[in-house]
Amino acid sequence: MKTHGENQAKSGVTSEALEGLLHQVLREDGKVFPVSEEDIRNLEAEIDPNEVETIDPARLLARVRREKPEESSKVVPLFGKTSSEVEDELQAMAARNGGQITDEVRKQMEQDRVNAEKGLDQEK
Amino acid sequence: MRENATVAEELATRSADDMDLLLRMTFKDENREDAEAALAEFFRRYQTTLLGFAEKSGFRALGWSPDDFVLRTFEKAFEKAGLFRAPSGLPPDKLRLKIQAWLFQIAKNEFLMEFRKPERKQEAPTERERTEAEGQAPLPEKPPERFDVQALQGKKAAVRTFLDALPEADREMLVISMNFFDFKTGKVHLPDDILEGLAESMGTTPESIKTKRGRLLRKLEDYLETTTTKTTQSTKQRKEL
Repeated sequence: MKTHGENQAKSGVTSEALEGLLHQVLREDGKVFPVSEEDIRNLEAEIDPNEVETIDPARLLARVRREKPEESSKVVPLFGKTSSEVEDELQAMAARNGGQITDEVRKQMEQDRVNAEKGLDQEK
Repeated sequence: MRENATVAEELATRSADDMDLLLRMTFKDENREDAEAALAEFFRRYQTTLLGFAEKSGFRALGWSPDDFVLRTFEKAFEKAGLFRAPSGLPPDKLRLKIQAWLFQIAKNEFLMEFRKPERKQEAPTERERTEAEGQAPLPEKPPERFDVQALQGKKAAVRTFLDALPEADREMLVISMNFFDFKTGKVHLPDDILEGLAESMGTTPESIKTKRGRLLRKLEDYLETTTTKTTQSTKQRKEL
């Protein structure tokens, strides 16, 4: 592999000049931080304001007020406050993957409940 | 923007000059609502250039959001509004440049702080960083010139072609590293902690960044040499014809 020194000898370009040129090109193209007012003028000329999607100032104000991020405030309950019975039923439905209970299964469940209650009574 | 502002107040803010907006921002403890209205207008006027820069400069490759970078810069500008200095009687276009330069110095400070290790982030910034951020070291009108770059002016187009042809990750790494170019030495100097932060952001090691960077610079040099040779040969052929 060629060393940088060998390349320098061949091209006559010093590594300082090479990095200086690269930095100059990147500054002119607005890709590294400007180091002069002239660079800022170049940068402004490079940027098409119509292509920049601007930020709503309300987002900045929320930050300076130390408000919670917008994402969390957007999470609101869909149905308002629900009773615990409804919540339990929703959880049970979720456990059944949203499926309905057939008459046969429901009869079996009722029978199981009666048997369980009988068992509890006998324990007492 | 102000919840209780009248139409007349809104219009007055829209037409206020930049110095007036900055002054109103300094009184945030006395009149918070007015200071925030001034900040919103200031942000509307100046966010585009910074946003455009953040999009172009490859911050996404570091996992940074350009929006977040710009919002952080203006948040700091709101805190430091009282430290902005400009000679009185500046024409509006000159004042506009001074303000942009100040915002970019704050932005660069935030950029540097992002690379610092978490434990260092809690420390006070260095004197140089603080000075830059507070606008006491204004940007010069023109960049410092290096005489050895003058001879290479004709090669800018070749540099751009070279950069465009690089894989995105290599290009972004090279571009981001060039933010640490030192005019005094004509070379990039990446402090160790910044290099570690950069490597972490890019999911690699400091050694790998150094090696890859060196290899890319050699490739660029080879490419410039090749294009120069080709140009010389075609010029010679045209003359012969």
